[in-house]
Formats: sequence, structure tokens, C-alpha cells
Amino acid sequence: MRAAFALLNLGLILGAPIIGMRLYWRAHPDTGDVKGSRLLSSRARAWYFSNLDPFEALCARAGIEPIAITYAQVVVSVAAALAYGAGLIFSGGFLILCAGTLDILDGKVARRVGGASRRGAFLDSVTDRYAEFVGYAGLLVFFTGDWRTWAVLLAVLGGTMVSYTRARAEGLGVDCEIGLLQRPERFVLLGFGSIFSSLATCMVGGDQVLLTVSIVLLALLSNLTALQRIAHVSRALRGAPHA
Amino acid sequence: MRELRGKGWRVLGYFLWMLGAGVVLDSDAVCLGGAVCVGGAALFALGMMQARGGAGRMA
Repeated sequence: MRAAFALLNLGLILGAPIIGMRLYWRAHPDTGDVKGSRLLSSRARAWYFSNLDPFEALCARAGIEPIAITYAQVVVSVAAALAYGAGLIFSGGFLILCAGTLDILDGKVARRVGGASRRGAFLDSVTDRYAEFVGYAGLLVFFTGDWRTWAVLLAVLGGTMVSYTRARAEGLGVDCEIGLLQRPERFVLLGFGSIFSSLATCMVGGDQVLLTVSIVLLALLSNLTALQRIAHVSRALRGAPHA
Repeated sequence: MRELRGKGWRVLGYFLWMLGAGVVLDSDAVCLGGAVCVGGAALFALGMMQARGGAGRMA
């Protein structure tokens, strides 16, 4: 019974976004100024952003401050960590996707109400780091005593270094928004990796194989992204005057 | 809540369905999870109907 429900969910969770994207792209072939990456195209991002337009308008009309949405993201990340720690992998992945969605929504609301301030950008960046670490902390609890703990620790290191290299580069005046695995890609990989892992475990058994694959990919690709950024900034600053 | 008309209810319905699916798959509260899934499906259907109604009026 549970396996049949998992199969139904696999179809719905995959099918609804695919149909939605195709309909959106047919109506909106131009993605405007939305930037893409190798793993998450500008068209996919534009579609996802468009889904948040009604909520952006609702938050703006209700007078909800962007920083309140940022703090809500931390609360949802804590809930995701508790879910992972308790072994609720599907719910953990779902809450990670919710946290990622709130992370996008706070920026959209800030731009809409004209409140995209430097203070807001700073608070958003630092709370994002806490929120990301908290999610991984739940996975550390789940994988305690397992080799996958090391993969989660490497993913934490990679995620932190991706953000740190960008912050340091921008502090030195170098644009550094490059690399395979930026924050949206990490949300998608961990969130959908958890959800599909839970569904696969319900259908065919196994020990969360897809989640393991996601964590290993996160560990490898986020560190690769940090190295890409280090190389990029190093090239950009070659020959620059001493600090 | 008129901002949610059409697409907003569809997105909310999709997320509510996933929340209910998580409850069904991760716990023994199958009835509660099922009820949340039904609520999500209803919101999704409402969004679809509103979008079709809007398209009809535009045409």
C-alpha cells in the first residue's frame, strides 16, 4: 500500500513541475534577466520564480517584512534538521525545499517593496549560513556512526567555502557569481535527493541510496565550486596592486 | 487572498500535497496525512478551475 502511494507521489512530484515548466516556457520563451547555471537553467529558474509571484504580491500587500521571511527560513531549516534527526527523510527534504523557497521569496519581496537594503542583504547572507548548517546538522545526527557523516561534513565545508570565497572576492572588488553548485542547486540536490530517496526506499528498499548519492555529490561538487571560485579570483587579481 | 488566484492556489496545493505525503510515508498517521493530501489536491483543483475561468473571460 505504502509502495503504491510512493509510486503515485513519484509521478505527481515529477509530473506536475514538468507540465508546469513546459506550459510556462511556451507562454514565456524569454527568461528576462534571470541568470542560469549548468545545473539549473535560466528557464527553470524563471519558471520557479514565476510560481512565487502570487506570494510575493500577498506578502507585500500584507506588509510582511522581508527579514521576517528570512527568519521564517531559519525556523523551517530547524524543523528540517529535526525531521532528518528523527529519520523522517521525505519530510526533511520537503522542509529543505520550503526553506529554499523562502530564501528566494525574501529577496523578491524586498525588491518589490523597495526595501532591498545593505542591512537586509547582510542579515540575509548570515542567516542563510546558519540555516544551511542547521539542515546538515540534522543529517549528521541521522548518519551518526556511519561513513556518510564524513560526506556531510565535507558538504558543510564546501557550502561554507562557496559562500566565503564569494564574500571575500566581492570584498576585494571581484565579481564571483560562478561555479557548478551555488545555493539554489544545493537546495534542489538535497531537497529532491531526500524526497526521491525516501520514495525509492518505500518502493524497492535499501538504505537511503539516493540521499547518499546526493550527499556525496554535494560534498564533491560544492568543494569543486569553491576551487573554481578560488582559481577565478586568483586569475582576476593577478598583477593587482598590493593591499 | 485574491493575489493567490489561480497559480497561487495551485502552488500551495502542490506543497500541501507534499506535506501530507511526508506524513503518510514517514509516520503511522496515515489518516492525517491522507486528509492533508486531499486538502492539497482540492486547492490545486481550485487553482486550475480559477485559471481556466480567467482564460475563458480573457477569450
